[in-house]
Amino acid sequence: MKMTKGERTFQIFDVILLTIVILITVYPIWYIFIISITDVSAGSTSQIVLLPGELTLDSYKAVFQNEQFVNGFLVSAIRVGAGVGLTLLFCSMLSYTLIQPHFIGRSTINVLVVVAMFVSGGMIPFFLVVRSFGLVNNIWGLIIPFAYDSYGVILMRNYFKGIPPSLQESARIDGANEFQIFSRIILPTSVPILATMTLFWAVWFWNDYIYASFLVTKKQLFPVQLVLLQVINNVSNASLMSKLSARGVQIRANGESMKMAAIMLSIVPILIVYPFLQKYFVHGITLGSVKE
Amino acid sequence: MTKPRPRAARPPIRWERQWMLLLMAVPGVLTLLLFNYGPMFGTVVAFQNFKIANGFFGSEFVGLANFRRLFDDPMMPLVIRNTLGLSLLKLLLGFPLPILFALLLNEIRSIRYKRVVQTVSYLPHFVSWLIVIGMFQKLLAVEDGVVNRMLVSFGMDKINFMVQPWFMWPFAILSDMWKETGWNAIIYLAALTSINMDLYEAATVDGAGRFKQLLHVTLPGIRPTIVILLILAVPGVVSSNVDQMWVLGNLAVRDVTEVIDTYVLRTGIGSTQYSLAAAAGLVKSVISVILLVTVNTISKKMGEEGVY
Repeated sequence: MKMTKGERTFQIFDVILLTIVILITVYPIWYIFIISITDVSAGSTSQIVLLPGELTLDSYKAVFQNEQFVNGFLVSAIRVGAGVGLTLLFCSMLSYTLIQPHFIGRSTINVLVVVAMFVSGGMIPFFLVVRSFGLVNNIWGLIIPFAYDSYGVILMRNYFKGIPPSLQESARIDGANEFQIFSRIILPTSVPILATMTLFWAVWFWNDYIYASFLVTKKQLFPVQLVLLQVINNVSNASLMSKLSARGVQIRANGESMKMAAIMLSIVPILIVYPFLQKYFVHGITLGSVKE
Repeated sequence: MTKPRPRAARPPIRWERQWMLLLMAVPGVLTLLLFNYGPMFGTVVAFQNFKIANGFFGSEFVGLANFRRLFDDPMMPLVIRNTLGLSLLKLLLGFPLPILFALLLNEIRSIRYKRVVQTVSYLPHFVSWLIVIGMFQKLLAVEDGVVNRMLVSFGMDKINFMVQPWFMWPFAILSDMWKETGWNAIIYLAALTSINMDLYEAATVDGAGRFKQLLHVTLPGIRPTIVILLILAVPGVVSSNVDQMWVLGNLAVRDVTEVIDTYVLRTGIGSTQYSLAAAAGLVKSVISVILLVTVNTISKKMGEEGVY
């Protein structure tokens, strides 16, 4: 199709406008990145706008030599791994039972799932319930109470419904039990939705600091976001710095550049998984938004 | 070999299958009941003088005393103003932006460029609010932030942005746009691609230009999506993003950043006034459900779709 002159002008205008939007989106992240790799001992970071100064990875080394951060990354990794694993298992099995027309619990559970999407007890009662199970200051307290998600159950249920039921029927006739049908037929054909939910939940578990801030008070159980919350909310990073110098490490970094390196490191896991899962999630979420 | 059974239209599931299904539902349902429905019943603490030592069942009931205390709190008017003011402004300014972004992106001819823009625009959604604010703090830093250096080079004074009360609301709204516009546009983009192309051709034949097509084909095509997202957004006006406001709310600016959720965290967890905080949380939940039902009903009355 040939473009008219007006259309061509609009195209150019549109491309320029969106390019500006993209630059605004990327710039803050880029700025943090270039500060994190600049050698602060060679001069201050106060000249940096678009390009880094003299390069060094010392800020990153400093983060990795800081026990709080290393421990935080470890706790977060455990939380994401166990959290996503359990949530996927619990919610996908539940969703499978909800597409079985003859399952006796189906309509009751359906109502429970939908109501929980719109009504919540609030943070304080949630805290008190978690506490009464002895899960406060417990790594499992960061995982198990979050291993269920109504939104995810509904998205998966809708996806599973779209798989031809004849596949299940023929497996039943061949003598497969329900769990086998679920694990050998439903799961392998549902990669897009499973990938979507994996991304969402992984990001949620990795990024949460609000719930973590009242579920754990012991520093050994702080996820990395909680360590960062202390650092970002504190104007001075005296405690971090004193730890560094106490170890006698000669490092060309300061509290600020270290903070930037820690920020970058906390985004890296997302940057790594994101491109792989991206092709699925657009499809995954729009699918769920289609009303039955 | 056994004879294949004749297939009924929908063979009823036998008992061993029912058991297996129940077993598969149990972990999810149990978590749902304990940690989603449990807290709903735990809301009784809002009507108690709750003491950890006495527990849910042993604490004394005090009727509506907590709610009275809540509304006597001199902080309350500010909290209500901040919550509603911020949310309404976010809704008003932030809601149309993804639609505009989706429309502009949809017009791009180059598929490759379109994909690049989309990929980049989702990215901030996956970064936590804490990190987002940490990044902007650095950009706006007094000593060496790029923004203040610019101010100085224009001959202006440096501004310590993050402790300025006047700066908090614009910052909260703009950073919200920065983070979520691309992500919120996904659903509109999907809706745009599902509009029947024949409609555009028919409009062209009828002599409609690009703008008229936008007005009479594109916008009506995504109207149901807009309505649904609006219904889902309205109950959120009492929430106002705890992740964001919790990090923004340092002592210098708390009068303009304290919203219901941060108030709940501070009074409940911070100063262990569980019952008072739970009362605040309950008021919020009730308003949010009422709003949802109201908006949904209005929408259905006006002939649009509802969310339930």
